[in-house]
Amino acid sequence: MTPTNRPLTAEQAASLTAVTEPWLSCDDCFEQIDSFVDALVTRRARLDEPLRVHLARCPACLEEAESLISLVAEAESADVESLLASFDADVTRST
Amino acid sequence: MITVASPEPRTDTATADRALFDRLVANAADDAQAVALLRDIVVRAARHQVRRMPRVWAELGAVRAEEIVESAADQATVDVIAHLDRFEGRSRFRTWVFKFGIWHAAAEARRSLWRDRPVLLDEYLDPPSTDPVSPAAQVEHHDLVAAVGAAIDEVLTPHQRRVARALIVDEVPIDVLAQALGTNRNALYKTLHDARVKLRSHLHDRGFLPAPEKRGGR
Repeated sequence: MTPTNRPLTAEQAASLTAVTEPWLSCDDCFEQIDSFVDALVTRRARLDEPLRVHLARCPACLEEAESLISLVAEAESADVESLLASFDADVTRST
Repeated sequence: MITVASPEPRTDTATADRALFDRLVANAADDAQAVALLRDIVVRAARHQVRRMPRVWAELGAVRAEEIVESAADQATVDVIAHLDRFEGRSRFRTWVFKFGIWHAAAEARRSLWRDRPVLLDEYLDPPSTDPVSPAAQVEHHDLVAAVGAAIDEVLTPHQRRVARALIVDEVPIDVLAQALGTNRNALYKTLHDARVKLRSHLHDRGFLPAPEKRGGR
């Protein structure tokens, strides 16, 4: 069985039908992520909805956002684990 | 007496970063010292990113990991200098620079980790099986899963099918697929978004999904 002939799982079906609106592109995410991370680290800001939806559906952008949060938090001697937990809860929150 | 290292005061770092930004804007082409300072920041970010990817060390080794850091730092340094006019001060300059180092390192690492695995673009056009992996555990989802599998072939274009299957079913990293298709992450994410919209609309029309919510857009 080739990888592409694998049957769909329920998780894959859910991902294939996931809502990705309000729309935000990867480029838009890249443009916005640094200001969000500074706001998160300094005053625990929350994600606006387009950025949240994008990060929830784009694993690459999410991985990089988490990396940037941890790097900036370390530089600021902030609580990295707490900030990442807060961020992850924000990304996966229901609206 | 015990001396505890403390982080550099934020104001000092911010002042130094602002001075670095000004020097780069003024004359990046001839200010080698400023470019070296910039690269130091970028290397820190690239190394941080690669350290967060344990598979890089486990599968590629320390030497290749360091090559990824250096290569990404070179690309990111050039990228930052080329985009200085896009820095609007909405974040600290250092944070803005960090994201370039992280982005390049992550993309380079993903491509390196996938280097020996084929991206079977033609096979993504074959119909998939629609049987769930664990029917007993997923019985309540069976109809929807089967419907999604069928809808992929009914409503998506060959390109949308290929991108959706590669990214979602086979979990090909988006940077790897972008390289294989000669495109970029942005275009692939848009293709996947369009595919999702078509699938949801098709499945809604057939009663598999509830009516889409009316949501505000940008």
